[in-house]
Amino acid sequence: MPSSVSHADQELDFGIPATLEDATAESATLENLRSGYTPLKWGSPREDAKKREGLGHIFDDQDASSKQYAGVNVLTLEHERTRRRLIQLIKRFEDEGVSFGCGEEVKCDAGSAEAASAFLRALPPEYGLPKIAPDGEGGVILAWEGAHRELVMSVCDWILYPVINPSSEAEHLSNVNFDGERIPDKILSYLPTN
Amino acid sequence: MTPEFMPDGDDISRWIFYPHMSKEDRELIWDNVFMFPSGRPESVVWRRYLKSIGEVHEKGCEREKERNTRPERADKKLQRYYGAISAKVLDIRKIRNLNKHGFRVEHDPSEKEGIYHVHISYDVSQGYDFTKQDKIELKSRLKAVFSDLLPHACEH
Repeated sequence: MPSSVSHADQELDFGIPATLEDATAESATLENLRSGYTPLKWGSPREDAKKREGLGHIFDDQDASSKQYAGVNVLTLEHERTRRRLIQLIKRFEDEGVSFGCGEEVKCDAGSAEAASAFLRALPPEYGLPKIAPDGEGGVILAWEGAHRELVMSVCDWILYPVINPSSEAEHLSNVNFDGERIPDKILSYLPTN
Repeated sequence: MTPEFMPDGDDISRWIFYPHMSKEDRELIWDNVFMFPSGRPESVVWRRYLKSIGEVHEKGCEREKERNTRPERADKKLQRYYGAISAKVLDIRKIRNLNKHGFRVEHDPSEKEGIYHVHISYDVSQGYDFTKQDKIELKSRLKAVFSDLLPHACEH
């Protein structure tokens, strides 16, 4: 970017990478997005270049497909943005609650909200993201629907309560402890992949 | 007001409200689920008394306005009425899982809630545990017997 770029040009930000280079640079912030951390907006072109240099080691951790094609990068970014929005929404469930009917807002408790957020952060990127809702008892429901097999589970105080195909031929799996870092294989084996 | 017997063939509708949030966030929610907060019943309306969907929406709009102007909700986000979902009473009563748990659908009229007010509540089978997995299954099956949202935007 030329150093003579106008101030007005720098202010324009539609949230979409403008070039292949930008898309690639933005993909380097995936770890930040996944952790819920919002990086500072990049400043001058010189600062941009410095930050891109500093993020080189993260590029090395990306898989080849996401490095090579801007389209794949944008899809991955969208996935990570959705993950971040889900985590923000869980925080909203905890702080304000939500109600779909005419009753009062239903909240999630702090421990369950933390556990559900940790689950989403720990979910490897090749797995689909769930839809969410409070479970009415302090926990958070994570629901993967639409795949050939459905999984709906409640996350309540670091315990997972999973049900396979709950709306037809339901199978209740036994409760699973979640350590906040690694998703149990038993759960992963039922999750749809992208 | 005296509760009446509700025949299996009758219809009920549920008003759908959402707090103010972006369309993108709404799409992330496992929507229209009945939460039965702390095991309490959920409210729906009996279509015997609100025959047309227009009447259901009209009462939903009134509820939106009344709810958002309550003094105790002054510090809460505005709730918006988005429309209603409907189901047959029989389809709800037929839900019964392997542990024999299901739902009751009962008329619950009152001056405050109206003659059309109905409660859906868990019907827990004695002698069987009622686990979180049971509740998840029942909520999913209840969600599945309801129609898609018949949308509405209030004009006030």
